[in-house]
Amino acid sequence: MKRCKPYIISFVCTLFLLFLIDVLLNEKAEMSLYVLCMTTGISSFLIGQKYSLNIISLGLGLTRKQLEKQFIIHVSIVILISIISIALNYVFIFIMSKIFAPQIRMIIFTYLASLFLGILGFIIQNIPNKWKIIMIVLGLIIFIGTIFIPNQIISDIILLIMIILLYVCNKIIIRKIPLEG
Amino acid sequence: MIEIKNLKFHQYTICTNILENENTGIYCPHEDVVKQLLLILSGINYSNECFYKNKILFDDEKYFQERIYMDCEKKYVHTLLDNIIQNLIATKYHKVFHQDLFKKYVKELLIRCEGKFDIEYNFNNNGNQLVNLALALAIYAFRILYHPFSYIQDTKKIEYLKNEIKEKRGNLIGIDSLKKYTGIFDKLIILANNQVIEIKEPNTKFLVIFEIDEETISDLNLESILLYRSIHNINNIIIQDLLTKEQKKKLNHNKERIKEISIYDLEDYI
Repeated sequence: MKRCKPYIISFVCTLFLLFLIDVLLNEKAEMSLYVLCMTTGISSFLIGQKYSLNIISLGLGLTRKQLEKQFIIHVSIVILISIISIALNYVFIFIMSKIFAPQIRMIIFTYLASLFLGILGFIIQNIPNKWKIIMIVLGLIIFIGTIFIPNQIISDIILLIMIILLYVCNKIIIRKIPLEG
Repeated sequence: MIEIKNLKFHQYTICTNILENENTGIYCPHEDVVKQLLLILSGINYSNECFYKNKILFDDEKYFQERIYMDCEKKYVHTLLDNIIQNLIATKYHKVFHQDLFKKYVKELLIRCEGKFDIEYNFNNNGNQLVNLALALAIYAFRILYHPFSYIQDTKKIEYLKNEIKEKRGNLIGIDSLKKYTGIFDKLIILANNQVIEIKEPNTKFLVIFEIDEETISDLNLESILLYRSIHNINNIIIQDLLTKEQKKKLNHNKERIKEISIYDLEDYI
């Protein structure tokens, strides 16, 4: 598992980068391919440097054939990761195009909004009185603001970020509040 | 056994065998020559005249498993944590590493005192060589070492390492000076001025004869024991001390200057 870690990280980062490009920049196939070619090329170059002939490795027991074999294996893995990323990216685009249908978009927005308001309500119950009004006002501004953002994907993302922030704040508050028995 | 069959290398033609259970030294006044020869003998650079178990040893997997080559002036080790070294040597290079032996060398040679005061953990040249030797001696393999003592100043540490090398037989060492390595070798190969001198008995005495002419050399039949002819003065020769009484008498009569030397003084005369 430890050995796979760099590849998993590389895979996740590439996928995330592609997601950002697709969603935020609204560029699909061509840009994705350019990014993948660049990352594959740079990775192969760095791998090639790592497995280049050096007297220390050869002196301690690796032959030139073995170094070459290791280089080919690692470059093949990088290329395989790229191919899988492209395939998954297209699957993702396909799914998202379905989700972009208006009815399903409304469902997602409603769910996120409910979650946001629910956590906000939970926090408001547990914080001192002087902060309650501030939190209510702020929460409502964000909630109403997201309804009126024209780009629905961006409003979903903002809600998601706010939910994560609220959840983190909630954890901190729960730990620190003294209870009176 | 490493077999060298008519290896034409620079201006030398080398034809010899190197045994795995012996300590062999290679010396040449030109350091580059020794380094390049060791790279050939360790299978890193190409040659089709060097064999190990009847196979060309260049890039041979089996040979690489059974030997290590170490340029003791390069940086190999950045940590003294034997667990990390053990893990790396075993997984990447598939060699047996004796952790306890390594720890013992680190302690005896005071390697921890040889760190440089810097933003990274580094050894000075002396420490680097000591740690390289500790690593090499702790790996179970035929060792090919280049310049193991070039930076080490402490004579006690040199003597300690010499004893360890003598005990752990199976070393081929490229040396920068004959005098520093007294008493280690079972065999010495000296490359000097187009001549290859192979000495199988390092305790043998040698004679330097100054200003001797060709006629005297052939009269006394010295060609069979002639080891070396100086290029600075072709009338100066070095021979093994195998002269008969008669030969000695004739030499003394001709008033040739003769000086007795050990093998380790050879570098002053070549």
